[in-house]
Amino acid sequence: MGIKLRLENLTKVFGELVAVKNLNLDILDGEFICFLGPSGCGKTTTLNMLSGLEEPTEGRIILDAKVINHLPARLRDIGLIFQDYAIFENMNVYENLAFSLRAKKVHKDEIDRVVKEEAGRFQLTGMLYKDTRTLTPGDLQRVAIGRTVILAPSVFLLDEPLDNLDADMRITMRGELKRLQKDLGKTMVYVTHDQEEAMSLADRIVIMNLGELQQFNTPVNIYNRPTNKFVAGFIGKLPMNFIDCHLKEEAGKLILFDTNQTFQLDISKHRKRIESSIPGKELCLGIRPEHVSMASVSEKDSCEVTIRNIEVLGAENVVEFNLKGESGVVRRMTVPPEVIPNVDDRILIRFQQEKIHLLDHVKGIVLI
Amino acid sequence: MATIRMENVTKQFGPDKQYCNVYDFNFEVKDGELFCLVGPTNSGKTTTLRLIAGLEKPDQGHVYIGDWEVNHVHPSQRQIAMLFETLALYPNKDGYGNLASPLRVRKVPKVEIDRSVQEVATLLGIKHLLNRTPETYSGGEKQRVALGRILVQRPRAYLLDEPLGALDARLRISMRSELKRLQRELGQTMIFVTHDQEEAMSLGNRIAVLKEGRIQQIGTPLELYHHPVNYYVAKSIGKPAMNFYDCTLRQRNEKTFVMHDHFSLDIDDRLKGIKKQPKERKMILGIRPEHIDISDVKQTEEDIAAEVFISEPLGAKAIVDFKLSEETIRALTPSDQQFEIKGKKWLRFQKRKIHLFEKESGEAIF
Repeated sequence: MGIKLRLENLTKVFGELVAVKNLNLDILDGEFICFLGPSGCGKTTTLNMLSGLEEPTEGRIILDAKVINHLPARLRDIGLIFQDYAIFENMNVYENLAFSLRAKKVHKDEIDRVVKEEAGRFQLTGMLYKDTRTLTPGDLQRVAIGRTVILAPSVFLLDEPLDNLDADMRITMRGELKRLQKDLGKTMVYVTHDQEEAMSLADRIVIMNLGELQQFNTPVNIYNRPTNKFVAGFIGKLPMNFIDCHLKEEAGKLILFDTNQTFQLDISKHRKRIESSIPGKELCLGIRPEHVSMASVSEKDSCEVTIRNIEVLGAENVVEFNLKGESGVVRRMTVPPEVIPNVDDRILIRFQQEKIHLLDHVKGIVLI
Repeated sequence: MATIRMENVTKQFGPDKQYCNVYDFNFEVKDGELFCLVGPTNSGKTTTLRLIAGLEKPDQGHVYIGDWEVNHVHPSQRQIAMLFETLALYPNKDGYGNLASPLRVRKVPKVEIDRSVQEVATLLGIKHLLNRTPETYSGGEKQRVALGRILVQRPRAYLLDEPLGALDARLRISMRSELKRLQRELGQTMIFVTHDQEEAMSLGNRIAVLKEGRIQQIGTPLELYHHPVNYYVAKSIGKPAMNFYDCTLRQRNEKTFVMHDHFSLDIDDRLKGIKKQPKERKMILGIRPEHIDISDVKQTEEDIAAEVFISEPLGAKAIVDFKLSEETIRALTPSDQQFEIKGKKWLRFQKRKIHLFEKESGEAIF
């Protein structure tokens, strides 16, 4: 698999605002890449530079081993799919799909063959001659995607295309889009603010914040091994729990404990990794809600917590709790659906040792 | 003390009115309960709130607040506060002005106003917003100030119309738990309207599912999740949604089976002791994604052969879609399992978790 798209020192500055700062990454042929981040992180600006709608302030964009910085948008071998479909309302589905082929003066028999084939792929066969104004949002998005697929571009760029759809339709279209990309084998670059969408679609995710690349890796790696506090807190449907803590030496062991000393964890086996990173005094334990479990008295790393709230979600329940002496902060754990504790109950919990993250508070980097 | 009761309430609007009709609504919200109304855009949720608030008058039936029949009582006299979807903060007033406004309208003494505003501001953690105007607030801050403005009124009950609608996913989750904790601390009756079933499930002590102006079912989140009374409730609650398959009932060797083109399941045990035996033969079988077991080998006669269509890792879990000829079976699995596209697997629906609905009426058999 070769490199399809390379971003080299890509930077975009608007007046005093650095929207994208020195972005460097390689996207491989046939990869589904998601650019993920909160509003203002630079993902859409990056996409706009790739499509040609914005010019980079510095840096190069290299597509199929050619620098394309100075190519106008219409001459780049790129297919764009937007949130608002950009369907021609005065044409029916057939004509929308056929549009770009007609512009290229392809023979009408060939157009007919291609359109009907693509319509089949997108389940549009039954509505080829329908007025686009009567279509549902999901169907409109399929027409928009179909129209772009017919162009057979080298790379697809998608800007939050599923944002206008309702929850059920989003999940359905997500699965279709993912399967489409695998069938076509084409490279897709997809921008979203929805971490669940990025997790489900991407081969690799580019997480950005304030114009800078935070982490670029597979969904599973980003989820299990976030490299900084921003990524750790951003990925995951429920936020990761962050608990301030400190280190001490006791009887030859390296012990991690929280400010109120409600728990003590022996993390001696990570000694090498921590010492070599010169940690600041301010450390933070990160643990995902699904890695916090109920414990029994006999487990030495257990600690007592007070239940503050329970959310019954059906397939599982979310329990909010506080450690002793804590207030004004929300900690969460997920429990199986049959477990329903009462508010103000005190229970014992433990953190699954292999799933603990240790973060340097000041530098924001993950040590474990 | 404020229970809120609707008794046979019907309201019908003309053809080009903005709000939707409600038909024969009967429910009682208990004192101190957090009651959710959930349904899509045209289901009558906002109409219901407006009827309780007094912004609409019922065509038939009665609205009660406590023991007090309020059909003819003006909204301002009902001691109810309503929070609208748009929040409607006063853009030209600062945080203090927004919070104080309902009390100023009532000509409450200045000292009393100040005490109430400071108390609510502390409760919601918005003291730093008191001397700033709304255009400087973030989404979550606007929410809290709007909430503060109804809290100062100390109403008998709160009505909230999609209050978290404009917030992004992560903020919704944190505001949801704040709201729930607040409601519990205050012990006040609250009716909350949302189109988001997950929100209703996580917040409500009890939930009413609405469809096109009619109540489908009222119950606790668990009741709705495990015992939906009809197909509509079953498909509205739970994410990812329940899987549904058209089937027929057949008798074989004196046992009852549900038959599908690609599978058949013995449901004789499930039918035992059910009061409402099925009258029809056309059925819809329902099974939730987390109640499907997946294995590499066929373990029982009823196992279903299916092909992996796509898998979506979501972090804590994964959604895997299987294809059964033209139909899809969606399963929820632990995240550490790997699934290859086009891989063949054997699926088993957990027998005790199957739901059966009559296709014609949509009513649940079990």
